[in-house]
Amino acid sequence: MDKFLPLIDVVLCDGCGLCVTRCANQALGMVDGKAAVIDPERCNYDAACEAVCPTSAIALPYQVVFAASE
Amino acid sequence: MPSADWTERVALLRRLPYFAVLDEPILQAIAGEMRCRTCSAGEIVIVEGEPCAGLFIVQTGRLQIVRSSLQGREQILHFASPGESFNDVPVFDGGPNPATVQALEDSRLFVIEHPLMLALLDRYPQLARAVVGVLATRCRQLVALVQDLSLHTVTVRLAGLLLDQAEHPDPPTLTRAQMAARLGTVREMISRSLRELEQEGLIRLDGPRIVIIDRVGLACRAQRPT
Repeated sequence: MDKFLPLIDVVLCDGCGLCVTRCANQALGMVDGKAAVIDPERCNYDAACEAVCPTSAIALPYQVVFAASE
Repeated sequence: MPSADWTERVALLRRLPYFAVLDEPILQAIAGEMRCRTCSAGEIVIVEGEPCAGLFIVQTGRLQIVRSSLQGREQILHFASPGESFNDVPVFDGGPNPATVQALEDSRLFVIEHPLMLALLDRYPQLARAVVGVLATRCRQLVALVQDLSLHTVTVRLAGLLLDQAEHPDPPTLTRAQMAARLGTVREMISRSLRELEQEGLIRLDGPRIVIIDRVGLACRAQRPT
């Protein structure tokens, strides 16, 4: 399975950089004035970037599954 | 001999409750009148309030049917998958498109124009009965949605949505914004409700997975029979 990563809408992103500042793992950076996932391996999917984004440009997709024991 | 495309069109019509009741020669005649339309993921297919664009039938792909407020809030009414139709209501009442439809995946659609549908209804009473049945089902779904929005909290609705997702044979992923649009709320409320369900020991957020660890408990929370 491909690694799930935050989806960044570059049209909505206004380049404020708040998500980059908030990301505790330095998975995000600025590329050509827009937020981007620059180090996918470091992303721990804590959704801090999504919560702080003032333009709703970042979204984290989730799979919903039953636990193996269910 | 009919071409593969022709055979596919007839087979698609046969999957719809509207047309399954009609005989082969009639289906072939309708298949010949359908207009094909392809659209890319993210593309808006029809816009709420614009004149009726016809009855759409999904051959491949997946689309969402959405109502929007002036403030940009969205309410997803339902999804359309292969073998399903959308924009049914204006085809029969002649009014504008009741909702906006956006492709979630690259999709191939067929369109039956409004006048053709009305002519078919005049000619085939069995089709009219099938249409009434489909519209009655849609009506029940909308009544259920109204009940859900007016009587249940966001957390109760989210519990139900998570169960539906997990039970889906081929579940698409969901973002918080998409969950909010499905449940008629905002993203922040979804985050709060997810935390609530996690604190109650019903789910666990595990990276990109929302794991249901207590199925029965979550069904109780969703006020569903267990």
